[in-house]
Amino acid sequence: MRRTLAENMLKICETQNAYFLTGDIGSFGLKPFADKHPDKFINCGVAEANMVGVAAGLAMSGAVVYIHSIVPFITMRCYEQLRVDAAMQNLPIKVLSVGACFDYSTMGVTHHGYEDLALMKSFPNFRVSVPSSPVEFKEVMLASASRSCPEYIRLTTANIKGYNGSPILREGTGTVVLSYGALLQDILDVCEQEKLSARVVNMSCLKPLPDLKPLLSGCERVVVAEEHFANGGLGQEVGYQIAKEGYGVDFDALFVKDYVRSYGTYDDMKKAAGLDKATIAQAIRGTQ
Amino acid sequence: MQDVARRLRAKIVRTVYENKEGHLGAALSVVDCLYALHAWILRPNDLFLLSKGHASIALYTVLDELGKIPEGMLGTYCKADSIIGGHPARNAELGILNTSGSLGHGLAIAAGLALAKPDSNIYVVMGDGECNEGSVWESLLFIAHHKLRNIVPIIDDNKSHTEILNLYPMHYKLWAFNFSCRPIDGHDYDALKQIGPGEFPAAYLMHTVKGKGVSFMEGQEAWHRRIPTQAEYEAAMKELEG
Repeated sequence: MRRTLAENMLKICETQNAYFLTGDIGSFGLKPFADKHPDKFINCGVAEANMVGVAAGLAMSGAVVYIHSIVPFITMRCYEQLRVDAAMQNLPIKVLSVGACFDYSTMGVTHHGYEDLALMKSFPNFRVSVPSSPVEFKEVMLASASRSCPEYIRLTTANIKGYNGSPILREGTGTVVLSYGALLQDILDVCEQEKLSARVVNMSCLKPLPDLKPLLSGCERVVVAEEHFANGGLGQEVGYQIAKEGYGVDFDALFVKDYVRSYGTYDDMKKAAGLDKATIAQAIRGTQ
Repeated sequence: MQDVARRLRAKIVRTVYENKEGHLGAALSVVDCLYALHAWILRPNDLFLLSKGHASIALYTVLDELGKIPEGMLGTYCKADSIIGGHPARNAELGILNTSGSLGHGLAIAAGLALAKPDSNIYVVMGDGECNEGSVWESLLFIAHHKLRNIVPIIDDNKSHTEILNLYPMHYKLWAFNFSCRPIDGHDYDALKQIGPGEFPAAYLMHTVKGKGVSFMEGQEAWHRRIPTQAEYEAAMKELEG
C-alpha cells in the first residue's frame, strides 16, 4: 500500500487541492509526487504535534490534507492535536498510518500498533478504515479526498487478491469470521487448508460499521479476529451489535491481549499474541 | 489610559461579573493588543488566531466594540445555547478561525495557513505560560525552517511563566530558534499600531501586566480566573468608569 501513495496522491491532485505531510517517513516512495508537486509535499520532521496543526491550517484554507507516520507517533503522540485540530474543528485531515499491529515486529514494542483503532474510532466524526489490498486502498484513499470529514486509514501489508467491492471474501455456512487487514489472508488460508466451511468477511470499514445483518445471515456463530487490543476493537463493536440487535448467534473473539515485548518475525509475533493459524482454526471450529 | 482601553476593560469586567465566568487576568493583559490588531492592523486577507483561548472574553469584547458580532451577543457569554464562551470554538459566522482552550495549538495552525496563503499575514496571539508547551517549540522550528515571514506570533508576556516554568531569557531562546525577538509594550497603542511581519521570522515579546487597569488585580495571580464579588466589581468599575 505504501508503494501506491505517490500514485494515489498524483491522481487526487489532478482534480483537488491536496497536501501530503510526513513525519519523516516515506520520503523516497513519495518522490514522484514530491517532484511533480514540490509545494504540496512537506516533510514536517520528527514533530507530530506540529504536523497536525500545520495540517489543520492547510485544511482551513480549503485543502484536503494527508498526514503520514508510524501508528504510535501519528495517533498517540499527537492525540490531543487530532482531537482539537482535526475532530473538534471537523477538518478534512486524513491520517495515513503504517506499522499496523506487528508490521514492525523486529523493531520492538514501541513500534507496535494495537491501540490506534480504538483511539481513532472514539472521535465521533472520524471515518476509520483498514483496506485489505493496495487496490482497495486506492479506492478508499481516492474516495477520502472528496469527503469533508477527518479520517483514519491504517495501511497494512495486506494484499487480498480479487477485490471487487464485496465484503464477503469467501462464502460459507455455520460460522462467519469477521476481520480486517493482513489477518484476512491467514483466515482464508486456514479455511482452505483445514477445509472449514466458514464465511470470511472483510470489515475494512470499521467506522461507520456496515449493517451486520446481511453479513451474518444464515450463520449460527460469529468469530472476530483482529490485530488490535480488545478494548475499542472490532470484536467489542460486533459483540455490542449482536446483543443490541438480538441476532442470537454464538460469539468468540481473538485479539492481542498484552504488549508483546519480544522480537521476531510478523508470524512469531502473531503466535506470541495468540493470533496464529492454529488458534484461528480452533476458534472457527469452536473447539478453543 | 485611553478611553477605549477603559471602555473595553469595563465591558470585560461587567461581563465576567454578570455571567460568572472568565479569565480576567489574561483578558485585561491582552485586550489592548487584540483591539489594535482588529481596529488597525488586519487587512481583508489577513487572518487572526487566538491561541491563548482563555482570554476569549477579551476577543469577544473587541469584536463587540468594533461591531463585528451582533449587538447583544456579548451578554450571552457562557449562557445556554450561546456560541461564545470561556474558550472560543471555530465559528465562520463570527470569523473565529480556530477552536482553542488547549494551549500550544495556534502557532502550528498559523504555520499551515501561512504556507497555504503566502499573500496573507497570519497574526497569532499566544501566552507566555503557553510557551511551556513543547508543541510551541516544534512550531518555532518548523516556521524558522520554512522561513515563513508572514506569520506574526505575539507572545503576551504577562509574567504567568514566573509562576510556572521560567521562560527567560526568552529573547535568547527565540534567537537560538532563528527568530528575531521584538519587545513591545502591550499597553501602548502607538507601539501596538506598528505590529507587522518582519524581514525574518520574528516574534513579538509583548510585555503586559496581568489584570491591567484595575489596581487590585494588577500582577495578582489570584485574579487568573476569579469572579469579582459585588464590592470588588463596584470598586473595579469605579476605577474604569470614574
